[in-house]
This record gives sequence, C-alpha cells and structure tokens, in this order.
Amino acid sequence: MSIVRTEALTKVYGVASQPIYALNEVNLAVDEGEFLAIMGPSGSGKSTLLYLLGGLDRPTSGSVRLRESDISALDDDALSRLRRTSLGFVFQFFNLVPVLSARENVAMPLILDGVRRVDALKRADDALARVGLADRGAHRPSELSGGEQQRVALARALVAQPAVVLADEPTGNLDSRSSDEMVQVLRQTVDAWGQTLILVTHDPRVAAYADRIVFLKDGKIVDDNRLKGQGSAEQIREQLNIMALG
Amino acid sequence: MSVKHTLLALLYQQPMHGYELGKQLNLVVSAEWDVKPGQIASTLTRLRDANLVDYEIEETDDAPDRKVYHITEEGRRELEGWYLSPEVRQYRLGDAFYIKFVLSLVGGPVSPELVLRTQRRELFQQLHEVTELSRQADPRTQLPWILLLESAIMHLEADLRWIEMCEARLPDLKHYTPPKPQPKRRGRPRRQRTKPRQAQELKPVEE
Amino acid sequence: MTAKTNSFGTKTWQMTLMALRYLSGRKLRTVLTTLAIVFGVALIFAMNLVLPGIIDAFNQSMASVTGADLTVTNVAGGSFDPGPVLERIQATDGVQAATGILFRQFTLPERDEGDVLGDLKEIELVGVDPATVNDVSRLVMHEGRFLEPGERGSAVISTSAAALAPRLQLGTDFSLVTASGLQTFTVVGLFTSDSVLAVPQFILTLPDAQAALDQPGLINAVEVLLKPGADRDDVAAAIERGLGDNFTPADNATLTALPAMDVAFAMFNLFGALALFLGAFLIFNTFRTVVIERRRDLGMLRAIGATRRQITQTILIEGAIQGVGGTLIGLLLGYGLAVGMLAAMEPIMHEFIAIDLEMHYSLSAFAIPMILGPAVVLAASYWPARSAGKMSPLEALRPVPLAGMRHAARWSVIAGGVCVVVAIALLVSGSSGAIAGALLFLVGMVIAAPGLVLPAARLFGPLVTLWFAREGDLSRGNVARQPGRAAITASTLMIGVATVVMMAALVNSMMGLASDLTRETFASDVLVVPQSVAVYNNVLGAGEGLAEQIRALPEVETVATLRPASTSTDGSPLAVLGIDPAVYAQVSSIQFIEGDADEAYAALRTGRNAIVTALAQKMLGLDVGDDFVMETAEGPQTYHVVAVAHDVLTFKTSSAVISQANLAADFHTSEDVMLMINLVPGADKTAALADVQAALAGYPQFTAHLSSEYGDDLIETSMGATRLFYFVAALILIPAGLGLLNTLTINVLERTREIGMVRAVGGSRSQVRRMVTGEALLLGIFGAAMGVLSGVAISYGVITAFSMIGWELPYTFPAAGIVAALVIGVLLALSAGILPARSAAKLDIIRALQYE
Repeated sequence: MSIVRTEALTKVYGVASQPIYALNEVNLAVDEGEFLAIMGPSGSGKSTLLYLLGGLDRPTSGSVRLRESDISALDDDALSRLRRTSLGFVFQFFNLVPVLSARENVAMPLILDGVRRVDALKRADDALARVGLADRGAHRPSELSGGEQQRVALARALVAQPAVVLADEPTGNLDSRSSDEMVQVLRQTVDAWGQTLILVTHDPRVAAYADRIVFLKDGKIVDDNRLKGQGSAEQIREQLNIMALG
Repeated sequence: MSVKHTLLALLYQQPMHGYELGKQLNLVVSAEWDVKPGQIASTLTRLRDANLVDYEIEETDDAPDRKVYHITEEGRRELEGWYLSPEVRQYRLGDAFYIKFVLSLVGGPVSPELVLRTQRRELFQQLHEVTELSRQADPRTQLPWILLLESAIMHLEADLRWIEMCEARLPDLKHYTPPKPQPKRRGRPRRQRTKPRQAQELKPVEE
Repeated sequence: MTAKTNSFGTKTWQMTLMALRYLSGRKLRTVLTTLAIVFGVALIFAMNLVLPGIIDAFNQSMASVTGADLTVTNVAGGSFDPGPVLERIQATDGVQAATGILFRQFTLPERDEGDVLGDLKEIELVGVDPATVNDVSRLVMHEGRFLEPGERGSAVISTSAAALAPRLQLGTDFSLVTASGLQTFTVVGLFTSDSVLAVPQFILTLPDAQAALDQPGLINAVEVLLKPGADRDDVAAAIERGLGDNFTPADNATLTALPAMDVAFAMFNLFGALALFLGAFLIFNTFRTVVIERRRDLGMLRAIGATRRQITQTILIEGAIQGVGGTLIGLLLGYGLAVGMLAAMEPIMHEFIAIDLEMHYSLSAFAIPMILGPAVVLAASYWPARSAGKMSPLEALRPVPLAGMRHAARWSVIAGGVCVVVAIALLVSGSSGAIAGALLFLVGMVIAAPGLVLPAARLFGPLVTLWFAREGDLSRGNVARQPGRAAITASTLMIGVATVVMMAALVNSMMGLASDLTRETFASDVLVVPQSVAVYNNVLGAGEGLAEQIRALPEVETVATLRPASTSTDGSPLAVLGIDPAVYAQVSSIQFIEGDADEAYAALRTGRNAIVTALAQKMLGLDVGDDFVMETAEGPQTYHVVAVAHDVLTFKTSSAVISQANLAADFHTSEDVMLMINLVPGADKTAALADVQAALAGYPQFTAHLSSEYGDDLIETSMGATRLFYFVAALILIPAGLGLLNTLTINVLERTREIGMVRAVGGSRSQVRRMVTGEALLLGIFGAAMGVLSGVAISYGVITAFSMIGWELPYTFPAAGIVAALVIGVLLALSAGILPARSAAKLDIIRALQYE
C-alpha cells in the first residue's frame, strides 16, 4: 500500500492570464519503505512537488494523501503538527539552528510537540547514534563539518519516527566524500529501518542509490524508473571489462 | 591492453617463471582481466626475441626445469618509456547510442525523446547496480576493485550528463537538418574550406 | 505520540534558551539595542525620581500644620478674622475643639556660616493660641515646655528643625526674619516632628506670629479635633455648610502649583517619551532585521513543525528578555542619572525657588518604567514577530524577494506626503491643532522616509561623492538597497535632530521674549528683591516700614512695591499682584497686549479692577471687559478686567494685577516682596545702592541691585536653566546615534561576503572603510535634513501651542540651531560609522568570502 499518494496534483504560479504550471496533474504513489529520487532539470517542478508532499505549500488543485488522509485540507496549525510528527525534512542549506547544540537541534521537533526535554534529548541521542554521530551531540553546528551538519539534520528528520522523510538536495552543498557518506546513511535508514524516503536531487550518483527514480519535466512526470534490485555482479564485471579494456 | 608491458613491470619487481607471472598478474591488476597462460608464454618468447628479457634455467628435483625470467637493461628502458607515455583513451566516435540518437533525430518510428529516455533509464539502471556493488565492496581489501567501479560510475555519470544535455538541446536539435551532399565542383575540391563551414553550421546549437 | 507532559514549560524553556543563545551570539547588536531601552527607561525613571520630588517640594506646605483631624482654611488661602469662624466651627456637631492658627511657609535668607539657624532653608512659621491649641493638637514634646498663654518672644521648634540647626537648643536665642525686620526669639521647647523630612516648624504665640507676618489679629487656618466616633467627611460637610463658600475644610485652596512648573514637567516628560519612542524605533528596526536575517532558521523551524504562534513566541521572548534586561539596567542607570540631574539642577532650582530637591521613591516611579520598558519592547517587537510568524516555511527557504519594494516605496511617499500636507495645514491654521500638526508632520516624515531614501540617495549622493570620490557610489547603492532599514535609521536620527532644532527654536524664542520683558520690567534704577523671585509665596516680605525707610533716602524719588497673594478663580489657581497704580507705571513698564496703560492704571485705582496676564487670558478665558470672581479672604469678589498685560515676573503664570488697596481689603496682605526704586535725576547710583543696602540691614531676605545688572543676571540665570533643556535634548541624540551605529553594524555584518569580494577584487582596506563611512555620512545627511524640516515644523507647532495658552512667543527661526543640528547629525553619523567601518576594513578576505 502506498504511504504517500498524489492525485492530479497541480500547482500554478503567476497570473491567471499567464499561468505557469510548476506541477501539472501529477499522479504519484510512494510505497512504504521506498527510497524515491525525484530528478529533473531546474524549473521542472521537483522542489515544488517535494514541498507539496511535505505540506510546506498548498496545491492549486489536486490532493496529497499521507496514509490516505488528505493533507491539503488541513489548516496551518494542523499542518505544523503533521510536519513535526509525521514528516521529516532535510534541506540543502541552513539546516540547523546555529545557536543550539546538535542534540538540541535534533530534539527540536519533539520539544515543539511538547515532549519533555529530558525525553526529547534522549531520543535525540538515539537518532544521532543512528546517523553515526553519537559522540557529536554536544557540538554546535558551526563546530561540525558540512557532512556532519547534514547528518544531524537527518537525525532531526528521523527523531519523531516520521512516516516519510523528505530531502531537498541534501548533498547539494557537500563535497563528494561527505556526499557519499550522507547518501549511504540515507540508504541505510531505508534498508535497516524501512524508512520511506523521498529525495530531490540533480546528482545521478545520489539518485543511483534510490529504489526508484521519477523524472519531472515541465511539471509532469516523464519517466518513472523502478530500478531493479541489485544487478548481477557477473554481468557488471563483463560490462566493466569492456569499458576498462576499451 | 599491453600484456607485454605488464609482464615487464612484474619482472621488474623480481625474476619469475611463467606460471608465477600469470598468478601475479591476476593478483595485482585485476581478477577480471583474464590473460591465458598461452598468451603469457608467447609474449615472453617475443620479449626475449626483442632482447627485453632473458631467462636462466632453474633445476628442480621432481619437476621439469623452469625458465626463470628477468628483465634486461634494454627491457628496463622500454618499461620506463612505457610508464612515461600517457595513455590516450579512444574517443568513442563510433558510439552505438550516438548513432541511434542522431538517426532518430533525422526521423524514425520512435521519437528522440523516447530514445534518450530509454538510454537514460538503462544508464541509471547500470549506475544503480554499480553503485550497489561499490557499496558492498570492502574498501580495506578490495580497493583496486572499488577504483575500477568508481571509474565506471564516473563514466556513467558523464554519459548521463551528456544525455541530459541532449535532452536540453532537443528543441534546437530538432531544427537541425543534415547537410545535403554538395554537387561536385569542377577542378580541385576545396577541403580546407568545407570543414570549418560544417562546424559553423552546428554552432547555433551551442548558443 | 509520546506523553506530552508539561508541554508549555518545555517549549517556553527551549524558546527562551534559544532566544538567549541568539542574543549572546550577536553580542554587539544585543548590547546596542538593549542600550536604547536602557536609555529610555533610565530617562523616564530619572524623571519619575526627580519630578515628583520637585512637585512635592512645592506642595509640602499642604500638610496639616499641627496634626489635627481637620484644617479649615479660606478658599483663597487668605487670612481672616478668627472670631465668627471659630465660634461657628465650635458650634458644629461632631467638633470637640478648635483653635485658630496663623502659619506661613517661607524661605530663610542666606546667612553667614555659623549662624544658629544652621542649614535651615525652608521653614514654616506657626502662630498658635497656647490656651486652646493643646485641646486640638497632638504635638509630642521632646524637650522643654510648650508656650504659655500671653508669652512673647518664645518659640517651640520641631526636632526636624533642630536636626538641621544643631545649635538650636533649649534656651538658644535666634534672629528670625519677619515682615518688620529681624526679631529675636528664644527656644523654650522642642517637639517631635512626624518625620525628619517634614518641613521644619517654628511655633510662636499667635500675637508674635501675627506681628512677624504682618497680619495683626488675623489667622489663616482653624484646626479642628473631632469628637470620638464622629465621621470626618460628615463634619467637614457640616462645617462647609456652616461657614459658606468662603471656607473649606480641605486644603486645596493652598494648592498653588505653578503653571510654569507644569509646562516644564510636560517638557521633561515629552523628552522621556521621545527617548522611549526612539528606543521603540530602534528595537523595531533591529527585530525586523533579525527576522529577515533569521528567515531561514525560522522557515526551517516552521518546516519541522513549529506553528505560527511558536515562531511569533520565539521573537517575542527575545524581545522580552531584552526588554526586561534593558529595563533593569535602565533602572540602575536612571538612578545614577537622577543623582546627576539633581546635582545639576540644584543650583539653578535653588536660585529660582529655593527648594531642596530630593529623590522621590514612589511606587509609580518604579512601576512606570518597569511596565513601560518591557511593554514598549514587546510592542515594538510585536509586528516583526508577527510577520515572522506569518512567514510561510517556503518563503523562508527562498531568496529575499525584492519585487514590490518600489511599489511600497511609492505608497509610503504618498501616505507620508498626505500626512505632511495635513500637518502643514494644521500648523498654519494656528488653531489648537498645532501640536497635533507638529506630531503629524513627524509621523508623516517617518512614513514617507522609505520612499525618500532613493531620491535622497540620489540627491545627497553627489555630496558624498565629493568627499569619497570612488567609494561614494558604492555607499549610495548600499543605502538605496535597504530603503526600509535606511529609512528607520534616518528617522531615528531625524527625531533626535528635530528635538535639537525644536529646543533651539523654543529657547531662542523664549529667551528673546524673556530678555525683552526683563529689560522693560526692570526699568527702575534700583531693585530690592527677595532671593527667589519666581515664587513670592515662599518669601517672607516686608511691612510698610521698609518702603517708608527707603523712600526717606535723599537720592530716592519714587518707590513702587509689589505685593503678592494667591487665590483661585473658578477653581483654577490665580496669582494676584498688588501694585500702587499711582507710582508703578513710573518704575516698570508692563507690556500691554490689550487695553491702554494709562486708562488701566487709572481704573485700578477706582474699584475692583484688574489687569490680567496673557496666560490668564488664555487659560481662564478672561478678556478685557469681562467680570470674574476671585476667592478672597473676604469671600468671593468680582473683579473687572481692564487690560491684558504681562512682564517678566508674570508672563509664565496666570496672574491678575490689582491695586494694593484692594489687596489689603480682600486678601488682608500688605507685605512687600519687591521694591522698585527710581532715583532723583542725576543721583549717584552706586551711592544710592549703598544707602538702600544699608536700609536692608534688618531684612536679610532682601538684596538690592542696580536694575540693569539684575536684569542681566536674571537673563543669565534663565540661560542656565535652558542649558538643562539642551542637556536633555542632547541625551535624545544618544539613542539616535545608537540607531545609526546599529544599522551600520548590521549592514556590515550582512554584507560581510560582499565586502570580502570588494577586497578580493582589489579594494583596499581604506576604500572599504571609506565605503562604510560614506554610507554613514549619507544616512546622517538624510536624517539630519529630515530632522531639520520636522524640527522647524514641531517648534512652530509648539510655539503656536504656547501662544494658545498665553505665552505669546515670537517665532524666531532657529538658524543657528539648524546649523548646529546639521553639524551634530553629520558628526554623529560619522562617529557612529567609525566602529563599523573599522570592523569592515579589518575583515579577513578569505573568512569574509566564506561567511554565511
């Protein structure tokens, strides 16, 4: 069963006489535990789609259903509550509150939700351990590397055990090594904990980790590519031989 | 690929007999590069003829005598020369997909979009698989293997980027009409001028 | 979900923690903005500490003299014949006993050091009837005995008097100024006063007091002891019924708060309010910047599930922390300021009204700034906080939208322009809306400011380019890029500069008027004046004898005297001056605004006619030809207004000038507080002055001066007083400077990357410094220009408003003030630019380029 589903999701910007379709009747269903990458050229509407999925923006028409309930119908407060309980976000930039320590940042959604500070911080520590940063909790964001900051952001996205984690170019600002680490951690959350993960990226290397790649162009899905499990090593070796030996 | 220089490089480390060379070759370079023992033997013979290696007979009690090869002074120079000459990767001008794509532009039963999309899908599939393999490889023991996989990943990425660029330029490419064969002129054909002109005709596409 | 316990506490605590960390993360800015609040609170707190003290000093005489249950006085505060009044009071139900007293609070003249009266300044002389006073009063004897009936030359003093004059002990003889010269009394007893702060009292027998105060046979209050169980209000009402309208059991008749003081208080409060307004501006500006700066943080918080309210809360909590912190520091600073102000004001105040100033620790002195400080901050941060809450998470994740800026700017100019036009109309109409017009002008300028930034940058840009040839354009661009912030900064400076210009204009006008009046008023040759000329009530004058003595001097041709009384008309306080119409015109020239001088003087001689001051004309609605009723010791009396005129002594009060004959008849007073002396033509002025001074030997409360010198002295003293206003006006500039510093610092912080780039492409340190300085200069010129405009408008409005209440001030264009304000504004801007320019120039290129 799909955990997130959009129905004829449409987002129009600009004036009525000259509408710009950021999204045009997009139908997309994401299964539980799926790692979905959304790709497409800039302006294709991939970020818009992610924002609509996360309830950060409201669709012009159509609906987003999270676990079969229409989130487009919720008011702002209800959406806020939904975001802190059922959704997790990772952005490209400015991910952490600079004046709070890593664990306080991670605990933020719980604290906003009214969980006791002690409990929230304990769960934050668990989440940090999951992304391999158990020992960095006390540090301020400025004391962490870019890759570590992004993993803290992931921990924050995971801490409330959300239905879906949404990531917008989470590696866009990282060097390739940190980028690899980040994607591996993302992959791991899907493999080990069955986390549903939707990620927008322009980086094919990042997308290659996903289970499924959806291509957007001009506000429409032009390709939906379910990557078949893991290819046989033998077959690949053969291909590589051809390449390596020219 | 030069089996000749590979053998020279291995013999540079220490003198070896033919069987040892075969084993060493697979261990150092890649388990995937299958070089047959016969090929090693024939290559060694050619190397000796060229006076790049020589051998001494090693006598053993229970087996036939083995030829232990070592590199000569001339072989050393040859090896140095090899190391110092850069490898030029052949540009894949005859790339099969390129031909398929260009043909689809001119007109065919399948749209160039679909051709690109199909190819991208395949490339992503490969990228996904190679990435998966590299994720599973142990960086401590399989580093050369990982290096090779990464080379593949990077090439796939380059291919994907090229596909993306093709896609972005598709609207322009659709207006591209291949040059018509020029009617033969009298006198000497002026090759020097026709070539740049062809390049010029392609240029607007880049803008 | 998880158990949500104590959710409010956790969230608020986390928000507070975050707010604290944000604040400490930007220490410089936090300090700067908090300083603005500190400053406003300090000013208001200081005012509240000092002003009530001054008012109290004026009102101290209001307290019951001997501590009886009820005090009955004449509604005009005048003295009266005791007989019938006492009888009637004693006959009233509920009255146990009653006794008549004659009391008067006055300032002792300056004495030599070592005088037995020590540090006593203000004393209250009380005449009692020893036979009956003990039935009523609750004086507790500390030492010695009380007065005996029929005793003369003895005094009982309060312990508070003895505290200030330690040598006044049982049996000590001392000389006291009286209306008939110095008199000697002996201390026979000390009584315990209510508190050491109470006005020192000297109790004499009634006949002694009547002689000392030149009120033979009269009393001015009846003290009443109620029967046990009698209701105070009932008895008071019964007494009032029995005595008629002339008498009142309350002591409001003696309330003589001077209108001039009211105006001064209003001015000081205006300053405090302006300072706080500036503080609010600064905070508003800062929080707006904070919200923009933290847009992404806030958007991210929204994205991870913070509600609008929670976001608004974080900003408000930050505001609250600054508000409370700033207020607390402000209270401390305010205390210091109050101490400093008292020290600065003491000599001036003493010169004028001879009052000891004290800090006044009232609940409201603490409560007002403590409520106002945080409230202003919360109010100022509310809008930015709300706009932060309104931000959609997406908005926060996108780059700053610049569209709509010009659109908004145009509207701001239109709205501001409308305000200014209406304001000018109000100002020119000269109606009572002038003050409103002045304020509207200011508001209009503030509203229009964002739209004026671009044109101003274009207009003044070349000026800056003159100075900083290459960097000028960059500076201009930087200013124009953030019109909102530039506008608020310029507005802050504008208010400061406007205040200075307003003060300059006002002081100019007032001094102009005062010096004109002074010279005309003191047209006589020699003046005999009490030490404090502004408040006659506190002066113990002289009886007829002094004038006679001086009149007898060979060089003296004419002596005119001035006799004061205070009363009320229609519930409003009115000062009354008694003159001798026959001679007054020869020694003084009151400025006649309406009516003819000769006719007026002639009229004064004939019946109950009065010349009223312009202030009285405006405040009380008295015009030439009107009749009005004054409360007098003889009951309400109808006077007829024959002219409107004023002089330096009366122009800032509601006063009525009547003949001394009427004053004696209606107010039972014939005490001279000022003598104006004309000499025989050709007489030696210095010799005459020496003779007059010799005649004053027994009257230490008076000094004699050559009128010309005295006038100059007076003008100089007034100048001294205006210095205080300048001082406070200068204080207003401090938050304006802080605002500038704040904006420039934030600008530099925000443009760190850009500055790094300028340096990377080859800009030198000094060029970066000049760029920021140029920006400061541009803001300074812009703000100062706006400030001058609104300063002129406000001063015009205020002066128009003053004329509404009767101070006909000629409007003097404050040219010098404008130049000073411009210079101050620009200097302020430049000095505010020093630090940010330095820090910008010091930026490390690589770090700056990496700055987020």
